[in-house]
Amino acid sequence: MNVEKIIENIKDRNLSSYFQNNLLVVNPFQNHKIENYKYSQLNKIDFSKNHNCIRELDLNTKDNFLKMFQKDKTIEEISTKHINWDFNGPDSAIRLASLAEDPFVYIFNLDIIDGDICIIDIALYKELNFEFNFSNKDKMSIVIIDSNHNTNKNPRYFKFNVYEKSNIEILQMSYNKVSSLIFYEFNQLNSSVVNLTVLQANNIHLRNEYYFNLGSECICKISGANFSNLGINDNYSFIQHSKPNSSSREVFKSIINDGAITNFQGKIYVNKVAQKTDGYQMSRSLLLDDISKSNNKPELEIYADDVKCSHGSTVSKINEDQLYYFNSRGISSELATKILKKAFIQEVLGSIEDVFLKELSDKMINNFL
Amino acid sequence: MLNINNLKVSIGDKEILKGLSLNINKGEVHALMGPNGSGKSTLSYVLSGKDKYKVSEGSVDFKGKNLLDMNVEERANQGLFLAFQYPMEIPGVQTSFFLRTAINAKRKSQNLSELDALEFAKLLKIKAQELNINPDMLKRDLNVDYSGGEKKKQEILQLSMLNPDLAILDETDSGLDIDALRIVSEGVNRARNKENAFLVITHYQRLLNYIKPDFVHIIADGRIVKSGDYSLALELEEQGYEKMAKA
Repeated sequence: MNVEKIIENIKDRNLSSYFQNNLLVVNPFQNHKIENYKYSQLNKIDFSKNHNCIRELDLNTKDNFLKMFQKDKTIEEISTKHINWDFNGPDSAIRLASLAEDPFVYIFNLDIIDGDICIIDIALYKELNFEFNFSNKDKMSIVIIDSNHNTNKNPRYFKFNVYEKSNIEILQMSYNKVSSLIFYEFNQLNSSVVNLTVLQANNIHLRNEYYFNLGSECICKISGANFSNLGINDNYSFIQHSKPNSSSREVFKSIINDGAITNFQGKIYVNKVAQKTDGYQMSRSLLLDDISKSNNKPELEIYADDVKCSHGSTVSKINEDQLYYFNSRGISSELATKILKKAFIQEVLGSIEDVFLKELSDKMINNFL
Repeated sequence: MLNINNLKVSIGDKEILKGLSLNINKGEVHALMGPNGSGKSTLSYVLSGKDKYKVSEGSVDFKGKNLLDMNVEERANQGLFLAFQYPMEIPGVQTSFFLRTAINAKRKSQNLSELDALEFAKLLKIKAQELNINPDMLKRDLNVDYSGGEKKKQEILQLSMLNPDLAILDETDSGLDIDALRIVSEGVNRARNKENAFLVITHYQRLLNYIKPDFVHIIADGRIVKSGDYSLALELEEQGYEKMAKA
């Protein structure tokens, strides 16, 4: 089994069935000749050294795999009051727990009331794979929290089917992961909108892969930030424009220090029929010292002849002149650096629209940056 | 307040200030005028503590302490302020947040408690109004996409918020239209008092019509070659730098 086959499968839209059959045996890290995993060198990480670097972050959202809340509630209010369990498939959390280590994909149909917030704590059942169907016409917000101190034995797989004209905003947070490989697949049907924000911090080894398949007139926006990581932090994205008139915007920002390595590899893939595609991809890294490393590999694969696609990549350090400007106003270099780090990822945070999602992201930033 | 004695400064192998001396007492406004490349901006950077400038000789005494021993932020917190010729753009940092951070840094160095959000907002509103700054500007990223005039107003806003003992204005008049020049000058005049001092660096005499200096100095080739009162600026306007520097 190899990962190239996963990529082949994603082009044929058979990823979920592929995972149902093969998930347990995929181990791409053992073969560094695979192009998409060339920077993911696990043998470079000393896991034992970093085990005591776990920092607690209390979001008050834990203990339930799936929670739904009404909007305009504070974290304190919603943590004690969850409104609505409504999904098909396994009928209780207990049942889910008893099914752990099951390689099959569980399907949830989420029929969500306008403005509700759904929190999915994917670390709670750490061996399970899930598929979520979103069919709401109104805008809804989802938080995906992925945090546990254990090593995941197997890669995991999550699929999100976003139906026609649906509009979802997702905040996906990964922190305190020791070793983890997760595949996220978003299947966007015509005229749907997905606004995905990814925050990753304090992980020892993390690789997240994001697969998007866009129908016609779809909008896909991905904004990612990773900071204060310890080993290797990997992000791979594959955005496939399958039909005409869809647009994708992707920005990934990394702040790297203390000898950590951040990899970003992203491909915009435009099918032959996907005319008038508008694709944009940007990855930016801020290196805080000279022992850390950033690998960026932007890719375009275009088969249509009337499209607009661009990509770019930058690596920089803290701007000395900006630091001097802060100092000249009496602000210490330490505080200025902290402010400049947050400023660097401000573009990513600015893409979050939902107030509750903003609140959670602020907590994560303040805790780890 | 500021006592510069025989200051020699170089960048790399090139000596720029070649034995400059200047004495500024509190309550005074000094104007420093000179042609391009005479060392005006170098002097302002050296006083604020920017690296890359090597002091080979001389001393600078600020409020009885050795200024050259302090780092950039210590100098600022001791009460020295440089209004930059080219203020930095800081994307991602809101202007009002920057101002509040700067004020609180100074208060912290004086062992004062932080200014709370309400007090700060009140003070900022008054100061911004005085300089005719639109409150929406303060929500924008610091100096990003500001016009030349807006950036200079921003520097003067910082000056009036931080209330320094010694303010150095490095060609604050460059890039300003007539209205902005008047507003900025009024801002400076409002900040003037018996306890503080100003060093106004400029090419042109026009700024000094608005900010009346007590002393005018002409700098050429890294030294002060002539000092006098306001009439020296008028004389300079008539005769030009070349003639005056030689005289």
